[in-house]
Amino acid sequence: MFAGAAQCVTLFYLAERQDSEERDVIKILLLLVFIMVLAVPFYNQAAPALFGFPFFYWFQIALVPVASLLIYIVYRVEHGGEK
Amino acid sequence: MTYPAATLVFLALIAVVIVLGFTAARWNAGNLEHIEEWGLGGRRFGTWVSWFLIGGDAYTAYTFIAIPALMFGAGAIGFFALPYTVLIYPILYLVFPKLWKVAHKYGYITGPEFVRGRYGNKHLALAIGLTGIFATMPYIALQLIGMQTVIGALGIPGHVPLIVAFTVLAAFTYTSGLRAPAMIAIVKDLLIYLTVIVAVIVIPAELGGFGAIFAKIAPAKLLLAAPPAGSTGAYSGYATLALGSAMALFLYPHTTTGILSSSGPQVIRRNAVLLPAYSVMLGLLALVGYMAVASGVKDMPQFAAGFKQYGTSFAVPALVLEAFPGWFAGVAFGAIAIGALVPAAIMAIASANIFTRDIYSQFMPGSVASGEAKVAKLFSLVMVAGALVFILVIPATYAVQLQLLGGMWIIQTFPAIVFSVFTRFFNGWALLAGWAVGIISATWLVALNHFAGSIWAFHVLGFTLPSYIALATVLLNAVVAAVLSLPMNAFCSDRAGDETRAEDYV
Repeated sequence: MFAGAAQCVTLFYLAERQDSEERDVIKILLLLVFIMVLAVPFYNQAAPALFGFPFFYWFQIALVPVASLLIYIVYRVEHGGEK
Repeated sequence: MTYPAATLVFLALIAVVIVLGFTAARWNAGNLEHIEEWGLGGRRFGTWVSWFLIGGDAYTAYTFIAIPALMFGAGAIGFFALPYTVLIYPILYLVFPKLWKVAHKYGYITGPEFVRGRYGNKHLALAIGLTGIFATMPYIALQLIGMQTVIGALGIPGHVPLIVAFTVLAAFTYTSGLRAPAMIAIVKDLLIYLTVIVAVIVIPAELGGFGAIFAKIAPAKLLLAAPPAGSTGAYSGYATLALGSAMALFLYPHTTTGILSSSGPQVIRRNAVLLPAYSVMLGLLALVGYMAVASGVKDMPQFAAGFKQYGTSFAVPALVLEAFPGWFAGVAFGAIAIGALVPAAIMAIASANIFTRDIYSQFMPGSVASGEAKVAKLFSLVMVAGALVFILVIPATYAVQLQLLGGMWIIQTFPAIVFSVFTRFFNGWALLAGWAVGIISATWLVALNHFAGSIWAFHVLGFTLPSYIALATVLLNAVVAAVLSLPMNAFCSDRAGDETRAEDYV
């Protein structure tokens, strides 16, 4: 019975908080941008090459659209409905 | 004329831009006697104009010359420009929509004004404002140097063309305000994108593909050197350069102005998503430095004089002249020169806004609000003239060194501006103390590097941590500000001086 009540409360709580909670959690994606960009030892390699570009170069260029996409997701979740 | 076709196309493009600069006053016409209209375009620029304006503002002519030159000379470390210009966008998204809202509500047109409103402390705002102006001066001078490099590459001798170009710049900045660079930025960016796209298609085709280009780069320069035992080596140098530069970028007066001139927080957020297109372009442009290595321009006799005079900065102009037909070299040089005019104009305007709102109106007795626009316009002329005298009198290497110092100084405004958007924990005087500690320690460390290097190897508990001096010193700045704020909040709180309200920051 206690377990059922706890679950009920949790569900109620989540429904109440869903908007702001979800919005705050989504900011983790921005942190992910920093982690990927600053992981220098990970991408300081020549292989695998792509179209003649060593990994160091193509990986960092590829990070740009990935970062843009992540910021876009955060924007949609937080402010997508606003003008 | 050494390069007749290139020179004619170049001059034609400059002429078009000058006409645009003067007609811009009539675009979305506002009353240019108001400083919000002259110095901020009436806060009316939508998503696309802001995209061009902020892009044109942040990615300057100096960038187009210096980043490939760094790759050309030093190799992989020069590629830090790419992670740097990725990290600026989460920061833009998180911080600046909030700053815009507060600035709009209280009529602030500069970063220092926000700080003054937040802490009721005009001395803190003065320190932040002067930091901005002093960091901007050498930055304008570097735009002149970028322009001078392409004019020199066309074989046009002397300082006269440069003086003419910047006199005209000062004139249209005076008459049109921020609308002029906003309009020119559109032309500039289209030309830059065209040039870069053509360059990354045509030049690798001539040189046998990107694989062949990378194969010509010395192995030691192709990747960052692996750190020795007990040190984070080039890894932390690269990462801190990228992070510190990203934290500093939008604190410069000209970039703040670009952001505050947009029509709302949503425009800024959308631009945090859309502006990274410029970073892709910058990454490809950086590789032009490697193309210059692979093409062997350094050993071609016709470019020997250029390299002797301009050093590695001549790599891009030399490659452009070598790889493109004359008329397209004119387009590329036009793009670079216009790429100097846009940020230089915004820098002059932004500094003028700061002078007017944070120095003149606060510290000069008898100032009146109705005269603001006049004061700002006159000060914009002073900024351009100052930069011109700077590069005519002082050797170019000093401008580069001062720009390096400028980056160290401007980041010291990070706690006062960025933290204050999220919290009122700090005390204004504590922030001023932190700022002073940051400025002094950064300047001192750069001096120990003989003004030539921006990285310092810190020794912590037996480990060596090479770090961008700006990042290390702004940390010290923040710690000093936080530690001093605790007792000051208890004994001499300045919270009552805050003219903004908690709900402004939601």
